[in-house]
Amino acid sequence: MINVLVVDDERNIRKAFIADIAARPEKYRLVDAVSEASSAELYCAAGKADLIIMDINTANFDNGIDATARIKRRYPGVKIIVTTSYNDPYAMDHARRAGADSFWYKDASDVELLEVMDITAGGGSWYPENRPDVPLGLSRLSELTAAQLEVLYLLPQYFSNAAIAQQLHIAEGTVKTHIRDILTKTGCHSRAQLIALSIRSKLVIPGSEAEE
Amino acid sequence: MKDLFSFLRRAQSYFGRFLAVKEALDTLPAGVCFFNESGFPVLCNRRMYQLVQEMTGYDLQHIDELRNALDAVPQSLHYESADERLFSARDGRVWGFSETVVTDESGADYTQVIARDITQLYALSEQAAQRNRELQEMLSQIQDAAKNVVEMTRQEEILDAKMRIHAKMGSCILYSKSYYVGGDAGDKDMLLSVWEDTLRVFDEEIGQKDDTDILEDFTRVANNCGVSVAIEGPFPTDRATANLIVSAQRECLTNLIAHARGDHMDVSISRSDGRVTAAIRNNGTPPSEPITEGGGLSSLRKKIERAGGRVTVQSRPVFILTVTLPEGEKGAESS
Repeated sequence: MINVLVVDDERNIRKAFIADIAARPEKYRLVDAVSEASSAELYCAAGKADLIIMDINTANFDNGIDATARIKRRYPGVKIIVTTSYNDPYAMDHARRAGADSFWYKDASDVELLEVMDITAGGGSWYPENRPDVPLGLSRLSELTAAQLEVLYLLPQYFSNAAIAQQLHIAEGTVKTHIRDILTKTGCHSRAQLIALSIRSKLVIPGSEAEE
Repeated sequence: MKDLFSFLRRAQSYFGRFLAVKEALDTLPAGVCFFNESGFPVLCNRRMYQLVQEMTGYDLQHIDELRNALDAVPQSLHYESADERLFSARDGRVWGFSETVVTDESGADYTQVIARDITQLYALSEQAAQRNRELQEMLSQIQDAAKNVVEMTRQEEILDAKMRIHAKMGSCILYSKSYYVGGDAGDKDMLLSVWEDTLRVFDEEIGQKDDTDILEDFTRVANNCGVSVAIEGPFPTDRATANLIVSAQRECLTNLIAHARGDHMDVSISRSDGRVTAAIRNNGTPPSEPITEGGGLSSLRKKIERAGGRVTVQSRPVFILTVTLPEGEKGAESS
């Protein structure tokens, strides 16, 4: 029997996950469903959890990616599936760096959570091949270059060319050029419209900027 | 007689030069005026006379009149210059007045006042200020939108979760149908278990706000990990203080489970002088050496100190972690 711990700050999401786990009672047993990532560390310390379904944004600004890194460092045998409903293009990279075994997009996944749980519990790893390719005005996320994506990602957090340039260690003029090109691709008329679009497309996980 | 002639020649030459200088100054687009050490004008061009006349209603007699008149003019909030005072003329032009002290060959000091036409510069600074206001407003709208997107995402997640729960319900119904109608001799216990678990999901109203009690949550987690928790004294009701104390409890619980191998935690809460103190003890093995602060304890200390509190750690004879915090607005509830 695999002991599963659910970490998600939204009660109804926890319920949905509980329902997933309940569908396979012969294989999975629910340990608990908690709202804070740091509670997961306690269950790991007590040796009560084998598999954790970990949301990125959990209660009290507790970051699931940071908790994953801590858990994997101290309890490497515990399997972790990081989940999110945001389309943050770097979330998968962050999860991978933190040592998460698998990654599952709550809204944009073509695989059921149970399948990912089976793979992960069996010692495997499952990461989507691509980031969610969300529409972005007249364009799509996949149509932006890596550099443009970086600039767009930082735009709602840092707003000015100078601040973005400082973050990326590039010239202010380069940021300006990227923004002009993104505006052309997306059909946005202003920087503000572009920011609104990126927020609406859920590109940035709230609170993730603190980690940058 | 010769001396007088010589004097008149010198005077003529002096006034000739003076008038030439005055004439040259009058052609300048800027206003220029020199005042002697007593503050009286010794040389002033036409533009400056016109400006002072418009400003005060009379001719310029003393530098203080000009200074007082400029002090009475409302200054722009947006055009910032450390050494210039502004005056908007009736024709719409804006003039910037500045003062400097100049010294002549004989060592006498004069105050030079220059009025320059800054109409364009002023208009641009007003435009920039307007643009800044618009940007500020836009930024605040964006920040609001960012807040909304969190709630929007939450709602979408809830909707998605509901859909998945309904799908599970559908599967249960299909499973039941195949069991009863199709004569499938499947596992009855499994069917019941699937129904039980699915129905448990519906035992609370979907859509209700997530208002978990963090202390209850913590106590449940501790109990599940085999540790009992006893709280003595009034636990703070304001969420920020309660969160910080629970963070400290969680840190102690992690150490208790991972290192001290105990199964009970005592939390004693007291209040005095507007501060809340939580002393956390446990029945585990005390550390054999003084504690070296690692990641968990050190980040807890940072969090507590950021909130204006302090953390003290006693290793022996028993381990006690004490957290003192300024009391929050809602205070504490009696237990």
